[in-house]
Amino acid sequence: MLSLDHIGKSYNGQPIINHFNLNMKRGSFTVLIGPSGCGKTTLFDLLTGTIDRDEGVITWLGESLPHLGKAAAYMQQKDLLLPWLTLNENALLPRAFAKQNSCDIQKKVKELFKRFGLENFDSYFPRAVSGGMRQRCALIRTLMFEREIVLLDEPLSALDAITRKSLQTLLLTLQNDFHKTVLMITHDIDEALFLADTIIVLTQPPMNIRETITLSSKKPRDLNSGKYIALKKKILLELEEEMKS
Amino acid sequence: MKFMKRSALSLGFLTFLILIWELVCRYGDIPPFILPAPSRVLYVAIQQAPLLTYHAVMTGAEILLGIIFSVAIAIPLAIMMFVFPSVEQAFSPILVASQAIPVFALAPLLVVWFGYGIWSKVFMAALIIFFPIVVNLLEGLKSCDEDYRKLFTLMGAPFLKTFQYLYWPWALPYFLAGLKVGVSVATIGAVIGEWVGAQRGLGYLMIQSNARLRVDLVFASILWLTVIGVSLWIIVGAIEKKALAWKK
Repeated sequence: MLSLDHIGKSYNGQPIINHFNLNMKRGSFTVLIGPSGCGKTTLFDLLTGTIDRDEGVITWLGESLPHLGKAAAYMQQKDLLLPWLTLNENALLPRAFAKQNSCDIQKKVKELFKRFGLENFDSYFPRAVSGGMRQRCALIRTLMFEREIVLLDEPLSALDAITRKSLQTLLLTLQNDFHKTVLMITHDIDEALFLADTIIVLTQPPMNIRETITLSSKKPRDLNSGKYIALKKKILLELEEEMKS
Repeated sequence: MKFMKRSALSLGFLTFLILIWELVCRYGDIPPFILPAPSRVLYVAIQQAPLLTYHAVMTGAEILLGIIFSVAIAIPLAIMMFVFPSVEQAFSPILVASQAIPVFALAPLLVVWFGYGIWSKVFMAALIIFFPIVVNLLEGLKSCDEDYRKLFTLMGAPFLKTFQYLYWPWALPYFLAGLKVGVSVATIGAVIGEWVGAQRGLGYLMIQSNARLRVDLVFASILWLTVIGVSLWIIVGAIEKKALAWKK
């Protein structure tokens, strides 16, 4: 279980996040959705330890942690591939800093490249491949962190609709095949409905939870069914009301 | 194709200028001890090749040693300035002040301190190259994207690994740009040093030839200096092309 209890952060006396509580089951997929600038990325910065929180407790598997820096892998909207390394070298980067049998790692990366449709592109430099391929490589690199929690900060928002759709299916494998506990930020309601076990609608700053929506565990979902169309309308309405408030 | 077109254009313009110069000298009644024709300069450069080579070897050695020394000091200093802001605060004013002092003003002092031999010229060349390398490298290191730094922190990369995989490759284009500027002006440092006091070198040859009104030999020396400068620039350019192959 990942628990965030009364997480708080202020800038210049202005609260950005206020008594934020969240409980996530191990192996679950939770999506945060909220107005722009509500403090979602600040929450991720607090979780990764990039910035210090003012208050609150982070607990992972019963252990209280200063942050999730050593327990979580992180993927952003920007692929952050190093342009001077090949896709293979980029994917291997997290293991370059850890002592581990290089043969095993290379084998694992090779399998992931095959699985993610990058089999013949491992020796390519990032600028020679498409945005979708770069993002898939970034996803492999995220898996190579070999950490159980995965934080995704709008990882697909810069991609076109078709590439995004195929990568959403790959994101599902994080939970289904790699048994990761995923916390993701997105602005795309369809994406949230497609991926999440739980959708959390956030408030304007100071950020807090406006509504928690628990979805059925069946995935992949048919978003054209009446149930999901109704849910989409509901979330959209919640967000519109939040923007007005 | 674009490069070929650009090269052809600049070569064509240069040929045009040389042609004008040749015509002015031939039909303008200008004595060769004032302005020798390019054909005369070329003739002297070939005829006096052993003499010019003898002096060019010394100037080339001064420049190369200057480059080696300045790079060897500039890289660690830029890194120290990047890692320790207090070092940057301490060195920045000195670096800026060093650029405000004309190299000409330092040349006599350096000859007094390091003698008439090679080292005063090496020091002059190193001094002139040093600044663009330090400033560019430091700027490159500082410009590293915050999100990449964050990623490396999350990967648990120690500083040396972060430097090896992130900071150095990030700053390399900046460093090479600084080196390119440095090597193209390095000849200035060496020649000024030789003007003030030397027993060998193209700068020394220029002073000697000028005193004897052998302006053609002065021009031939300048031709050699140009060849040295351009060669160094091409070499650094080739290194840049190889080191930054990923940019293609």
